[in-house]
Amino acid sequence: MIKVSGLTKKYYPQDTLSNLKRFFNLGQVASLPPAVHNISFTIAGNQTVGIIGPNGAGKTTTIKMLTGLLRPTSGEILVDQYTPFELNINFKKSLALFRGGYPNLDDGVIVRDQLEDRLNVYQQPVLAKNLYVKHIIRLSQSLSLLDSVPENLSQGQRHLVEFIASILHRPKYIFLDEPMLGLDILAISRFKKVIKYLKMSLNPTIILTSHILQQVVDLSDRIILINHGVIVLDDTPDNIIRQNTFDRQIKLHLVSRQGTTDIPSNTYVKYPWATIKTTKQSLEKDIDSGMKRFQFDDIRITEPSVDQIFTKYYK
Amino acid sequence: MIFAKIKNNLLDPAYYFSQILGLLSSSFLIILWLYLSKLKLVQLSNIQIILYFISIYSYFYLFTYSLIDRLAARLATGSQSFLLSPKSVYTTLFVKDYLPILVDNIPLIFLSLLLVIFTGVLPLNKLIYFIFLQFTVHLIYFFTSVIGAIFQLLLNWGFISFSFRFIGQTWNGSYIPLIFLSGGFLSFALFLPIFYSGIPFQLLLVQDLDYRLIINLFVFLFISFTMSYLLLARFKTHVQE
Repeated sequence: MIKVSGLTKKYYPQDTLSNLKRFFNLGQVASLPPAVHNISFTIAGNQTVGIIGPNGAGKTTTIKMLTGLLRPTSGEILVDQYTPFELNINFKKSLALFRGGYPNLDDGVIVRDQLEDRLNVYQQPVLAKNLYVKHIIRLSQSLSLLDSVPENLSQGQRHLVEFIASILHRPKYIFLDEPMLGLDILAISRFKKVIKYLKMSLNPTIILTSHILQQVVDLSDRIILINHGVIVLDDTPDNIIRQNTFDRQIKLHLVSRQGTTDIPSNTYVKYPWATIKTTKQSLEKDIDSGMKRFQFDDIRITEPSVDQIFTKYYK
Repeated sequence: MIFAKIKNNLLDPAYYFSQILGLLSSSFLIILWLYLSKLKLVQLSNIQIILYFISIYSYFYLFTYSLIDRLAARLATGSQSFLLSPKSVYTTLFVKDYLPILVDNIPLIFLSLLLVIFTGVLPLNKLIYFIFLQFTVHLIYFFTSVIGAIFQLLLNWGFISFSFRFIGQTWNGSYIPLIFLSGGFLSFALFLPIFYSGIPFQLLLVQDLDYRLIINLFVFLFISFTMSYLLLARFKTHVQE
């Protein structure tokens, strides 16, 4: 259970003078405007929650506070009975943080050895006897990558093994910040398989943030949209999409130019396609009028993409 | 991990090249100084010369790969590695950043020590004492580098690692203390808290490995450890703010 109430985070300037003043308590340093302002939410166990929002919205700051990397300026966070920034040893053992673009394996040492080392640190069975890790390696098809040094792997390959390295201690809470950054579609598919296996085998709470909104919608049970440091939306992906997709497009593949002159204002023709913009409510009526007006051999009804649905909340 | 690192090194041809090059340059300097000593141009005993170069070699290696830069990188971008690791921060920094550099350097130190043993320039008990002193100096180097890395981050000043490297290498590889200090100042210098080159510097001043070395080393070990411990504890909360 994660319980967040009235959470606010203000950063400080990082110039030399401000750093020294703060470090040695030599005087007051004015903080910057809040990156996160008075947010509250509760996440019950076993949920996968996607935190989305534009750049600078406060997503990463929120994740950093939830994992204890940052101390809130005000407000309270409880992850089970732990206050994250106190970095209790049991709290640290219960969580995994994977941030795309932030390497967590060291160059110059073979990946397999680094995984073994981590298993040892977290007192887990060695790789050869660890069915959980072996299964993840199989799902992600990364067995052949284990005997390389990280710097010899491609960006996507390195990304996958670093993800595995971050979750091999069977964490109860998994925080993923841009986990699919730079992955191709095959790698994304393997990544999703691993996430599904984690959900099935560990029943963890997963907090996920990404700019690839379709991936977040696919993986999450719930979405929290943050913008300008405050929560704008907090609901299931289904509800959000249903409540926000009033628009529809009817696309007809025309077989003749009949009916393409004097067309209504909601219709646009770029032969051989005619597009009728409509709403969920008028869909039936507009299909009917399109069928009467045009001669066509194919019809498609599309709804806005996930990106289009969320765009209005990003402003 | 360390054995894995040694294994990786042994499989890498570039590693042998670097070690052979290091051994050649180090041997050249030892032979040159022994020759200068024979010509009475250098007022040092053969033991002093050999130990001096054995001890500075490992520091050269550390300076070249500036430990401060590595630690600063770990403390900055990799803050999650040390804040969220169940291991202590010191263990993480020591194992992940310091030991790999030292491991790269071990074969040559080992070879040099074998040379000392087989040539019999130093009795075994003195050799063990010397190794112990070296170990202590390396610990001091580690703690000092932690302090340097924290200040490098606080000051946003990459020049710190460069300065340390430059000063360290110049100090190590030259007679500077002997040129600028004499008489009473030299005796006083022996009791100064040592910096990177404590042993090499003092080896140039004293004919024997005496008690003054160990006193200085422990004073500086205490200072460097306490300072790094306090700064690191503060740094952990500082990065969370």
